[in-house]
Amino acid sequence: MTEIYLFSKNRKVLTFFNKLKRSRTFSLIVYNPSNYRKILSKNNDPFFAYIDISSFNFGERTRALAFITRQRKFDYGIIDPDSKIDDPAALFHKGASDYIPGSFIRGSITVNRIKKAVTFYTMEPLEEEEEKVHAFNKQETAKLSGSNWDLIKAGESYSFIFMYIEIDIVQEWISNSGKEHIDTVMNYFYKHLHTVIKPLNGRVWMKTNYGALVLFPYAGSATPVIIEAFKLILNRLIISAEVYPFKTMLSYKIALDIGSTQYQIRGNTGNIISDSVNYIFHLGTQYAERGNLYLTNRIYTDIPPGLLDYFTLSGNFEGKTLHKMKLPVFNSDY
Amino acid sequence: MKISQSIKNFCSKTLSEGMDVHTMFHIVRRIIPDYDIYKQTGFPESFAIPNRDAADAIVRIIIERNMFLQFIELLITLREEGLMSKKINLPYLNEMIREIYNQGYIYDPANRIFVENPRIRKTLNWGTLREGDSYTLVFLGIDIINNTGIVKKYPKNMVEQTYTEFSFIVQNICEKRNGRLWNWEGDGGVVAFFLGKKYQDAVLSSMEILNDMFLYNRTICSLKEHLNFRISIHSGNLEYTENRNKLIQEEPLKVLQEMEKKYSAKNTICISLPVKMMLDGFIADQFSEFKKPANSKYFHYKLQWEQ
Repeated sequence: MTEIYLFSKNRKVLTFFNKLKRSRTFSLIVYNPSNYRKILSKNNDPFFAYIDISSFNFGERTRALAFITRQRKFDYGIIDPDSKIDDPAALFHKGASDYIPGSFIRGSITVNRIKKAVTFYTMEPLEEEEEKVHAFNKQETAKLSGSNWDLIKAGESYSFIFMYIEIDIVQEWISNSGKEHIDTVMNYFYKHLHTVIKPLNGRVWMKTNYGALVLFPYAGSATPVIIEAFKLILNRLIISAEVYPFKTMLSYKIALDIGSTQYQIRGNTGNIISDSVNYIFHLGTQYAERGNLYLTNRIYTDIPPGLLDYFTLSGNFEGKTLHKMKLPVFNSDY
Repeated sequence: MKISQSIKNFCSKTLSEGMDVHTMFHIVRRIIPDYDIYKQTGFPESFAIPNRDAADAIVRIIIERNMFLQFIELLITLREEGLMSKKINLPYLNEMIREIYNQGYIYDPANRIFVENPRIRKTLNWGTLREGDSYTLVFLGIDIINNTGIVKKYPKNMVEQTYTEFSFIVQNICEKRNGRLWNWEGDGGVVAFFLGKKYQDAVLSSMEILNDMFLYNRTICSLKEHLNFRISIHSGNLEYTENRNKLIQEEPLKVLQEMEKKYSAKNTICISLPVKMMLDGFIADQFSEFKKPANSKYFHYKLQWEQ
């Protein structure tokens, strides 16, 4: 009997799962959501976890999602009664097996639904699994992606320049602003990002809640991408004044790396397993601080010599040495 | 601008179908104060001129006097504000605006005038400033510091290449915000801003020049040293003239020269109080008062880095 851990204190959600208590296939255990970290970290038995994000305030919710999407020991589903997550598909990119929106929480959950969630990954055909492993192993020897997207084929592995970029003030605004306002901010962000990356042949590969993972074809030099990222930080005041209509300072956090991955077209990236993709996401979401630009050691060598003085050693993250750009100072910032 | 027959017809129909003859006279006298239709048409004053004839006569005179765009600008304002507290019906006005757009002009709501569409052409007066008329403009003055030393120290072609790259940076940055290079003398010049958010456009241009030159000096510049410069920004009213020498003698440009000499510093932007007052708060906040010499009329900004 598979154990289902439910982390929720929302009466509607608890009622929705109530039927599962009588199931012969699954054993439902309800936990206090505030203990999720302790319980999920220490338990080594097989189980499936459902986290109800309405049980957390904004800050806790972000931390809980970051924590659960990092885990590899168990499969999980996200319950979102208030539809707070803008991009549920991104959860699946990060390994989620199920997503239950508010509109679905009516009556009782079916055993069949739980079965599908629990077997979401194990049901995948063996060939696909082998392909994933194969792609994973091929990464270290991946060829350069060059400079022409037409020659980059889906399913093949290449080296790319990865840029994780996030407009980081949104996290602060979200508690005081409606979804419509945040959507407006993000529309401006993606539109501007597109104008910045297009001349460098970059493409938004995956969107995150408040940012994106951008791929630039790599033909041996990352210097133009570094300079453009540098300019995004340097021109922050100008961008805030001209790109956005909010009459306040905005900022980006950016992480740059050179890595390898199997290429798939946007929207079809759910099955990609890549250390490089995982790393850049971890770097951007877990390490990068507001308003900063980080470069891994591998891309650091492409900084123009005249700009080296404007980078300092930042530390080590998941085995890679990082360098951080010094920041221009603005009055009345933040 | 070439006034096509279709625009003439639209304009005439706008007047004749939208208002009576008395209102037409009232409007046209706003730009031609001594306008007398009886004198123009030869009709006796006791004669009631038909609407269409009066409209045709007015269109003819405004075209003859090269005031057509000015007249349409007036009609747009009247549509927005009404005439003597009454809403005014102006049919075919949108059709006329579309025809004017097709001829390379766009309407600038900030200044309430038609200006040339910068995607089609860029002239020094934005296709709209008229000789002898007064306008408020914002001026950005920029010049290279130690020009003489650089010219003496480096080969001619290297200096020429560097100065050309410098002028490209300034011109590209300013022109994308609709600024016009009014004067360039190799080591610097004056850029004028007139349209839209002209104060902010001038200041943001100067900040972008500062940032781009920071990168240029550290990545591309072929000199063995950084190319240093100073920027001043001031606004003021001047009487427009095509005569460049006369234009440069106008008061706002004299003040700009004084700012460059007395208050500008290396790789720093100096702005005057009227400019600072027109900026959005978070941009104005970046400028500090001069401490030495103490002067509250001018403010400066320079790129600073965390330690």
